[in-house]
Amino acid sequence: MIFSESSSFPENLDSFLLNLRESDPELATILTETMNLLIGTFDEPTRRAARNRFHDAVLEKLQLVPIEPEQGS
Amino acid sequence: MTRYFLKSISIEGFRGINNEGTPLSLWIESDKPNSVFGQNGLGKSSIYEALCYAIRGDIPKLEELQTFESPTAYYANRFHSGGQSTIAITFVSDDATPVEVGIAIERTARGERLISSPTSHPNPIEFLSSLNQPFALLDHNTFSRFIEDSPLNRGKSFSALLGLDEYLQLGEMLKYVSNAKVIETDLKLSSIQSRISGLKPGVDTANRQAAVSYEAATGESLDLTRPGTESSTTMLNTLKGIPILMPLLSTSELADVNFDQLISAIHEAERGDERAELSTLIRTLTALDLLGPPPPDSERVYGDEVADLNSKIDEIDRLFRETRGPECRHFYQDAATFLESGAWTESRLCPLCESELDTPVADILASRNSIFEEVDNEIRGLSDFWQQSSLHVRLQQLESSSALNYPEPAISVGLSNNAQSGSLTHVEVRVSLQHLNEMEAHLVASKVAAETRKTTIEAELPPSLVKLTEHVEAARSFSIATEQSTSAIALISALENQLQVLSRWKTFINNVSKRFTEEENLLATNQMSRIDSDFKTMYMDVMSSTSVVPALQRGSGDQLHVMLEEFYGLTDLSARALLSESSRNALAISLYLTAAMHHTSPCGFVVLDDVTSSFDSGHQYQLMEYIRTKLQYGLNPSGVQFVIFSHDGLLEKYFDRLADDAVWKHHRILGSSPNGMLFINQQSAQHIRDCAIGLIDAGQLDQATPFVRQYLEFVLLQVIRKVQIPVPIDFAMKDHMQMVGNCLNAIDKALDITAAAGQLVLSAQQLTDVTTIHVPAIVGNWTAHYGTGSPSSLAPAVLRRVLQTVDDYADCFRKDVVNAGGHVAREYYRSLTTA
Repeated sequence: MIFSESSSFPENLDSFLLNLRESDPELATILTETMNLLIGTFDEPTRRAARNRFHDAVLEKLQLVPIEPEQGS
Repeated sequence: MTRYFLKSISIEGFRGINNEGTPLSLWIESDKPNSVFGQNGLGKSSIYEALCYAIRGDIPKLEELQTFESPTAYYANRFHSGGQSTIAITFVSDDATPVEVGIAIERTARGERLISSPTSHPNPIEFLSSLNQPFALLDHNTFSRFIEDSPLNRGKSFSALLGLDEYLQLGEMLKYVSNAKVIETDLKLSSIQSRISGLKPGVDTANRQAAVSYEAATGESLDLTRPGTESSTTMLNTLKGIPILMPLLSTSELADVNFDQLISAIHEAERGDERAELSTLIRTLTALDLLGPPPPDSERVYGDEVADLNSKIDEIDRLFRETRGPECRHFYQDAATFLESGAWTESRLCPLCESELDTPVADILASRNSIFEEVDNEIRGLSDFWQQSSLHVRLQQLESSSALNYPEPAISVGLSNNAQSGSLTHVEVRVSLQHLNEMEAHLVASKVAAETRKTTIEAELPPSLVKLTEHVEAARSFSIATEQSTSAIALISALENQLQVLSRWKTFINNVSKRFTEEENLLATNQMSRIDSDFKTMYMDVMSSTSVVPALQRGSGDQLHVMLEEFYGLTDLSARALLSESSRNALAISLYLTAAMHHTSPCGFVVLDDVTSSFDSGHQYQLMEYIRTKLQYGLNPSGVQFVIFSHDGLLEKYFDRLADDAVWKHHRILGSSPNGMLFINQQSAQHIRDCAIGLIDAGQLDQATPFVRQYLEFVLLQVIRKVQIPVPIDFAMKDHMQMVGNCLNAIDKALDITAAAGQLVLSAQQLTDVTTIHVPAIVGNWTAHYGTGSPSSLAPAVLRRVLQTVDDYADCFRKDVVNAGGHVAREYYRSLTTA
């Protein structure tokens, strides 16, 4: 279990992202850099706007990812 | 983590609280429960809403209004001249050395919410946000909605209650952005795959073209397995091996070769004008060859056709003559139509000259008309014969050939028209044959001339350059095809790489979403198990029963089911289906308050607004006692601070009694809402009296009367409470118009009984003053008018006298006490029997 009851949400989120780096450091780094776009209270259509911003940012960063690293997370 | 309690609230110009110039102030204790009692319409909910607005930023009740109702126009008090609202809250920390944080929330006349900190907190907005916890501000709707809500919404509320709302929100967003359709739409995986699929046939075509061109230029087969640069180099070297091209091929890349320049060089070297003429001659000869020779045995065939045509022309002429001319045809046709109409019944009588006929007139007309039909048939036969004749077909073929370039005008179309109308003549037939023979001769002569010229030019031109042009064009085609193939392959490769990275992301974010949800579920399960026992204990304590035990069950997704793990010996039943309204509310209250106790956030207070309205007095008492003894900070160092708003008269008695014992802080709202001033109980009793006097002096008796009533009630209830006078069970429920009379009666009866028992602590003079002076004065001047609904008869002097009388009345229940400083003060007797 990564999330700890005694830790705050930001602390638990950091642990979670750190754990992801063990399996796919490159994509975990991208998620770390873009995760803030998914945090907050959203309703429609702000939810859709957040999704668009997130995927725009992800696509921009994915262009810099070299080909054929290890698969999966 | 440092927690913050409410210490004071000050409100002006908000909702039902006007208090212009004198804000309504409430001082709140942190180590004992606080209660605020107010009769209906006295601004109690406005205080709760002020806290909502300060901490949450809105008032749910107003936000639920429709736009046309202008919800934003109802935040400010409608009677406040400034049209703006001010809410000032002081918080105090639970640290060893408490720190006070002052926050001022202003709603401007334009609806802006401005937040500042008089105590210079560095980030007052964030501070308020940290206090905005789901348990901080609770009303009856919150609890009833929790049970009645769908399992999914209940699950969301519960996650927020456990402090997991951020996890829940992020988990939902991760699910959203990892959804296969969303990924497909946003990352355009299919679109990229389609582009790749669309490009691949183009590569195959370009490769085939390159192979054909390569073989044409080099005479060798192209090995597609070899690198493209190798074949391009071979091709370039082939071109460089040609002397007239070599000076133009200094480049090392085939793609850089200027093929137009090479073609121009060849054109010049091979005398291009003559080569152009040669091309024209070749095209002309090809076209003339396509015309072919005349049909076999044409002379005989044409002769037979001419004879047949002449014969048909003769037959048509003969028939025409029999008809007596085409004008008669219309006459015969009209006459036949006339006869067929039945208008003429004399069959052997001519309708024109009425002469007798040997043959019926209808037969004569039929005979005449049949001749015309024969003419028509012959003409059709002539036309068909002409169109199909070898003579006409050949004539038409030669006339339509531009390559033949015959100088005389064409005649075949005109002859066809004549044949169709039956006017073709013997002369025209003869001329057509003559014309055809002349064209045949012209065809032969043209071919000979073109062939001769072609031979001459070909003899003069260097034949090797013709092949060279073909080589250069093949090289150009190879270069273009290779470039197309290379570009397409590079693009496909880039797209495949892109697709690979995007697919990798798709798998990654999907796994992230699943893992996050798993972690969130584990955390929620642990949190649930932590509060499970406490919440059940609280519920059973409040309901005073162990026969019903609630339980929470997480369903699929974020659903939360409220069940009964025990129900009078039965198990695993629906709480919603079986529990009464009060039990459902008690369950929700127990859950929320238990969650508040376990919550780790800066918010150390819970504000409850009329949450016990569905409870009977026994359950109200159980809940309040549970809050006071188990949950309230002070007796429970881990507890939270409670502020309870209520309009329940019986509950207020409970608050009052505990306030006297100094284990509860009770506030009573007095005054006038929404257009006047509001005050809080004894600290403000003098304010109420002053207000009443001020309004009486100003002649505003209508507004003064409620203040007089409140002051009388306050003083009389204080006497009852201080000297412990018993009151009837329905005392608090009686009409407020009668409350003063009720108080006087209760006190009067207690005095009678105690005096009769010889135990009255009041002096004889005090008793006499009470019974013979003050009570009659109050009854005569107040209850006889106000209590009967006719306060308008109260004169200013009478109202002033009532206020003084009730003070004198209360003083009869006091005694002189010498305090530690040697000063004499007036204090209430401890009871009617005890000094």
